[in-house]
Amino acid sequence: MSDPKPVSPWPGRWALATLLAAIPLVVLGGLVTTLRAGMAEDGWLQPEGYWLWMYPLEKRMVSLGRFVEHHHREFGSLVGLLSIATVLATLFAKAGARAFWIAFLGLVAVSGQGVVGGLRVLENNPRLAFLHGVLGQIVFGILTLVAILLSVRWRRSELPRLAAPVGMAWRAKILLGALLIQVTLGGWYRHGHGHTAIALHGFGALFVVWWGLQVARSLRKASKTFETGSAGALHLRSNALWLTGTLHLQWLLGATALYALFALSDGMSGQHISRSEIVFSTLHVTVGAMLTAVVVWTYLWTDRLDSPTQGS
Amino acid sequence: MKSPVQPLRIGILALGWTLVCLGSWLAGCSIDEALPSAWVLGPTSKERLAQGTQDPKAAEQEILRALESLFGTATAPHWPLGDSQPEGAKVLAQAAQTYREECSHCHGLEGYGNGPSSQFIQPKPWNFALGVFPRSAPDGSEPKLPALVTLLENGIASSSMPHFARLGKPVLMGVAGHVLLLLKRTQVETKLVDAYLQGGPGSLTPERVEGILETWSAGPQSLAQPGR
Repeated sequence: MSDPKPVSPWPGRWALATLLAAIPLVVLGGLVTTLRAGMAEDGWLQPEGYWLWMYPLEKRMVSLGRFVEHHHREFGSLVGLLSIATVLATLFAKAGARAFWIAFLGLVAVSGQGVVGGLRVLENNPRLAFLHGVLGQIVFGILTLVAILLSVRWRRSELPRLAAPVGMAWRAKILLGALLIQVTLGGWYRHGHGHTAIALHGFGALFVVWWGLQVARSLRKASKTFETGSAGALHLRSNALWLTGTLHLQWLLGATALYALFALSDGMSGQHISRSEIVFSTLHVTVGAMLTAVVVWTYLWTDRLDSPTQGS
Repeated sequence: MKSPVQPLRIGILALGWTLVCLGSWLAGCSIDEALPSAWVLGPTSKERLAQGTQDPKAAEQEILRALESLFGTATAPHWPLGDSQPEGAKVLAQAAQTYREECSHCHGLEGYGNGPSSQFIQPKPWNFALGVFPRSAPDGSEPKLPALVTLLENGIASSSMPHFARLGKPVLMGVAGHVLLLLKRTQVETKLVDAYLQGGPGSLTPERVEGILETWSAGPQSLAQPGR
């Protein structure tokens, strides 16, 4: 099972750094949408003629909208640079063609997302804003995938596979598909403010939570097939715990954001944005990205551990 | 253990559902579901009525009724004494819809510069009620339609006012016309509040409202025929 060749940790470290840098990017992106501040800064790569990173402090601080939008763009460029570093790390560490293409996938995803965001600003196009919002969560999922596939643990295949499949893998696949639909519906609501979208998003949430808990249960069941305290058992139990935790946190935040929208803001008309809506909507978006990451993690490992003959 | 359901089939269904959602949104099926749709009085008018009347709510309703008789509603606006042809009404309604989608979250539905996003940007969105437009009419006169269209096409550099070139000139002419309608509406609102504070409840009779309209300048009315 284990790879006799030494595995460099650097590609995985850079990929993890990229993923971590994407967290504030998602937080700021969620804030931009809540505040409707996507056009708060004039220009894209050179706002008002300044190079992005050299934009004067007093101009950044002129309003909350501009502060959030500008730093969203800066974190975007940072994630882009870290993605390049990840690709370079696979080359310098001689991690192989597969690792290179995985890192390259992350770079393409981040670059594409940046271009969509830039075009959204340059063309002042709300439909591109919707696309940018939905892709944001998907790109976060891809960065998670890159970080896992480049990690030492994955590349060394450190965990043992299950003796017999217990149905984790197909359940995780369905969960991932359902979550992608949820992300699309969430983006549709956030950018279209439609009643249909929020209703579908709410019903979708019921399914995702219920199905996600089934996946978590199958993870715990599978962990019992390993020896207590073994790496395999600990991994699956930890995965189940993260999945259960983020699922519950996410529906709770969604319900709170809905309450803030209707009871403390001005409902769907968006005539008043309350502080509670700003906080809880943004947290809902952020934890949504974390849930996507956890589900990608679940999908990848269950696909490997639960498929003795076809492991990745 | 074999999967009791076929993941591939579910995946195709899920993808289809997403495409339907996406397609319906791109077709604009739900874009209007939750836009603000009712004009209210501006903050200054509300404050004056709160201080000068015993029943501010009743006063607001009376003034809003008078305004509606003159300018219609936020979804179906019209000019006082203006074109009542169905085609003209449709053009004005389309312009109002575009304004609600693109402009109202900063400038407010009534044009007071107090939309929900206005608190997060600097400089603040322009308040049409001030009656002066330093960017499109720097001499202090009322803005002209072509100047407003040019401003909408280009935006204002170094500010949060973006360009709307993607909407095209005919649509921008409509939006600019709607901005002029809002400008007039806010001015008439101030006069109606004055009249109400002088005459009290029931004073805004159709004759009185018509009298207020005598001070109307015919100029902007001829400018604001969107899409023509």
